[in-house]
Amino acid sequence: MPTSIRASASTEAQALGRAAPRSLWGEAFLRLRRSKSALLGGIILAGLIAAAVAAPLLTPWDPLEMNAVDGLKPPSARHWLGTDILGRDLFTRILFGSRISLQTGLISVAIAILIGVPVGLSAGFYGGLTDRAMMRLVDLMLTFPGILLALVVIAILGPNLLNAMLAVGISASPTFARVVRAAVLSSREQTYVEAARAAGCTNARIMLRHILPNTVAPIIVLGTLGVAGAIIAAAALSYLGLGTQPPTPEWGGLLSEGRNYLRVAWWMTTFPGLAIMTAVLSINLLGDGLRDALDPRLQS
Amino acid sequence: MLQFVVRRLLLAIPTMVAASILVFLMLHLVPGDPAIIFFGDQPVTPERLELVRHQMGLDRPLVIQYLDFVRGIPRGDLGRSIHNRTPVFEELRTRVASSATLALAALIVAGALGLSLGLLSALGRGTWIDAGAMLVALAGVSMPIFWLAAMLIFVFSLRLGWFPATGFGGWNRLVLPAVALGFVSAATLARLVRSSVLEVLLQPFVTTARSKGLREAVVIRRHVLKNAFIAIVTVLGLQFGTLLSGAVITETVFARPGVGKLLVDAISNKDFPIVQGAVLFIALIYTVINLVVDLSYAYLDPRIRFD
Amino acid sequence: MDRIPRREFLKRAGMGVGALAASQVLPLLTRAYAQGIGTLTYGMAGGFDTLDVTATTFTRVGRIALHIIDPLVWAVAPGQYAPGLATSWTVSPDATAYTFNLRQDVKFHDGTPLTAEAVKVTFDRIVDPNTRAQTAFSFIGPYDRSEVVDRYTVRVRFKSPNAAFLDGASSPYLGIISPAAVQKYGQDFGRVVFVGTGPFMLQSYTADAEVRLIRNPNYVWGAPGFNHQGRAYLDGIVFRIVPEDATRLAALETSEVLFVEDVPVTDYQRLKGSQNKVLLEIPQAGSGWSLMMNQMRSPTSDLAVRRAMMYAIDKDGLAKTVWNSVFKAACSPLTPNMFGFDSETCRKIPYNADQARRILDEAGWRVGPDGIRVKGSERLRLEFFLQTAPQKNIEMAAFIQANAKQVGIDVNLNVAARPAYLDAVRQGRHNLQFWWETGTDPGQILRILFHSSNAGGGTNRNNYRSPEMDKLIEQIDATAEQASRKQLVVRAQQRVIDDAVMVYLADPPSLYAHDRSVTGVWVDWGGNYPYFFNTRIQR
Repeated sequence: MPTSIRASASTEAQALGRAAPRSLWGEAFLRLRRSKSALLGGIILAGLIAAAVAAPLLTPWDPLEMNAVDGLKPPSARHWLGTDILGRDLFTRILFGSRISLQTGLISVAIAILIGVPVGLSAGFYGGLTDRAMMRLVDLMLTFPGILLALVVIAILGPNLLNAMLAVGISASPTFARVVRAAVLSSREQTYVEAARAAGCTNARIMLRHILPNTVAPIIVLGTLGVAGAIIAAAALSYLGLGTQPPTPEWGGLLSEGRNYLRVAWWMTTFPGLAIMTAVLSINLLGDGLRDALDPRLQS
Repeated sequence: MLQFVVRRLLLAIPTMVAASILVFLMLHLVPGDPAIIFFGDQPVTPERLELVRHQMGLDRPLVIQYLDFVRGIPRGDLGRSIHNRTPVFEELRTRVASSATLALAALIVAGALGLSLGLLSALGRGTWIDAGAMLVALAGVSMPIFWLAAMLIFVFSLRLGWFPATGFGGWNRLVLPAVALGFVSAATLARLVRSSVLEVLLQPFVTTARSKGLREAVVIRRHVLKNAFIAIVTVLGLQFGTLLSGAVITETVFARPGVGKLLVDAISNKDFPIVQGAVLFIALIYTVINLVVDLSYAYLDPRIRFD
Repeated sequence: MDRIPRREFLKRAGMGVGALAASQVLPLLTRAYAQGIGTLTYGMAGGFDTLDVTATTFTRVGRIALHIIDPLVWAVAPGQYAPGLATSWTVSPDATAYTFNLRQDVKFHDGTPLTAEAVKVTFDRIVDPNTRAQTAFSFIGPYDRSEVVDRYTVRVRFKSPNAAFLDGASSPYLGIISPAAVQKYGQDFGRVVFVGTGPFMLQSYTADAEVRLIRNPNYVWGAPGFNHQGRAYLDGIVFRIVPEDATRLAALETSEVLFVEDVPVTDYQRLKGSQNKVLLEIPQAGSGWSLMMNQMRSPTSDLAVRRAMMYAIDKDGLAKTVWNSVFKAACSPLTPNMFGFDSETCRKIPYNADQARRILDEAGWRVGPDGIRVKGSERLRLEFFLQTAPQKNIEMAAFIQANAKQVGIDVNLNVAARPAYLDAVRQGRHNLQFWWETGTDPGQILRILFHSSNAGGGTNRNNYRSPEMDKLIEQIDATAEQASRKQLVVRAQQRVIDDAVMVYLADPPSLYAHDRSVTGVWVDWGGNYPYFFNTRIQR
């Protein structure tokens, strides 16, 4: 397997501090461009982001404008995706909702990574007391799991978009810490780490240069799924009434508004659901491509 | 090994103490006076409000309130709800049993589904099987659970009549909630199994095993599966807590009593004893589960040492 | 108070629900079914705090408890009562003393006899601060003490006139409980046991899951108003807690439950046309859905703003859009079926956005550049606090927000979880908040909404303080004579409309549905308490 030999040769070269730092990311970028599914994911995601930005130009309706006589109307030429109970245009609401939802997904995961990865990395790397202390902290957070942690954060800070993102991000961070730690635990025993250590690299350098890249794959897997998870978690908060403040549309909120009308207005849940799936799918395709690009050993 | 277990269990005590203090403090940060919440939208005079505040013990210093809670624990007394004055243990008993049953059933669904989807797609990497399995997994993560649960009821209960719509009572009532709850975890699991299996397949020892002429099935059983289990065990350990107390929505939709619902209600009532009791209970279960998870690491991957 | 002959009771009680009329035709079959015919499963829309009906705040607990206890009297129509545990009663002219003569053949589920002492213990327990009674505490009003006149006669005394007491005594919350059981179980009464004299006994209670009742085999004291006095027909009732609307309805359709409460308006049409389900629709007594406007906080302290809000909201549109036309536009703080409802109020404030604009223009609120009005440096922005559930709250609020915007009022929605919500509104940080009250006595409803003693953090979150209104409410409470009481109730309604205290939005019906095999369901005229004493399940 030539790729795998090349990869380990390059990591060893890095371990000896000779390779240019650009090589890993540069190569990764080249590989990413070659992946068709990643390209597709990227295009869809870019399309969604563009639509979110250009929302007002793409629809004649106002997302908040009600029209009592038009309530609960199925999709038509006038209202492409139908209307909700207050006669608001669903297409418009989904379009404007994408602004909030994409933000929520990305920012929450960024928060989770910013908290979780350093904790997991240092716990796994240093081991001993650091590990124990950090993992106790993680355990502590996990004993008060996801949605409940989010609930308390929102109960304290009040329900709004920013707090929802913070809540979702904080509650997702222990998972990142744990998984990163597990990846570190197995990679710190690898020969190239020992080689780096023998070569006199500092701890910080070993962590950032040699161990972190090996945890990138699980971080990306978790992170891309996490964006999806965060959008869904925000939907769950909306279900409990603690997400974005109405009447601002958000995908999860739209879905949760529709749940009382499952049997009389299928469009109210179907289209926001499809919107979430499309976004999640594209983010995941892109994520898969990224992971393969960053971890060339997995290329077949 | 035994030493490790004992040490972990001893270490769990400070975790639980910390958890209970943290929860106690966090709850105090939540705005709202429990006595006011108690009266809700009922008429009340200031005198009655003050009296209830006193009965709830809210007029005492925080430290005393906390110590009172701690003092009862050795006797197994978790106190009574300040809201409806039911013993906390009584409130927890049936709900913990119900939630644990559901969590376990969901874990089985998640494990079976996640493992098979993950393996299928890893072994058939790049083919339509891979794509199909990952699409199913993806559908799992991108479906909000209340929607999935509602659909399951609509199809399997209303249309086909296979299972009851409400989920409290016999075993047949457990199926739909377990599938709903397990499916979401299965998706995460399938992805991690896939990537960990792919990683293992490229490890030198697999190549060695193959080159020694071992049959593929044996390679997979002996080496690949064992390593894939590390990912599974990690995720399941992580998710058990979530499944146990985070199943609020599933439990609400399927009309099952549960710890999550109890906690959500108790948080919104600022019912300190209930929240503290429940968190303590969950922390205990979580500690045990994760001890098992960590022990299984050592068994599954001898390179991982406990020091 | 007037006693009503049995036939009359049946006729009146049957007004709300046709089902009772059917059982009226079948009195001869009573004995044949006396062995008990199955268990009724009831889909309940949520959990509750405790089964102790004295302490609870939940209507649902009243619905369960009505089967476990017997009320002293039964309410058969607004202002009219029939015997329950009390065979007869007298009221002192000033409405401060009620004397009840009790049935002498009644035993609690624990075997102890019902005596005047039990009534005294039950009522004393309501005002005991340790009980922390809530709904019952409001119902018993200015209670002073109970006197045991003889073994089966009790006199209840009040500190001030309480013309509404029979209304309270007819509610499940003042149902008589066993003093022996209260003594024996202390704090666990209502948690693990609950002992009354009713046709059903508590078998088990699993919080957030179900309450099981079994038939009381010794029951022979059914109220004379019902078609039989012996044991209930059903073997038992299981109240199963199913909070999610869709699941509850699905369970009804698969016959997992035979009866459900709180039918969502979206399922109304489907159930109405259903072959094998029956929809029960009873106008709900109380205040209906309404909007409180805080007078202690600007800009709702301005009469003009409040009047403009009353005109600006399209109540018919709201009832049609949000409530599928199942609810009706409201007129007054009382629902139309309440004693003393003034139909004149329906003509007083029609939906008229132009009128609203005019009122604001005249009061100096000028339309600003963004369409929102300003006066000096103040923007016409109203803070609307509402709770996260039910979702209809949010739909109504969004509708109101859009209506208000039409006339230049900016309504800002603050959806909050219960603690934060209560914190805000009790402290008066809101301009607007919803109110929805069920109850069958007009005096009690008006007191909750408008009496100054309930302002400043209580239930009068209008923070409306009017000595004239206070006096009117006190007079209503003190007047037992029906014609003059009615006059006072009418004057009170007109007064609060003139003072632009609240916006009255929608009058809801209570919606229940059951399997067609279920017959003989009785529901009180206020629509809150379905009663299964006469109920059979026909296979």
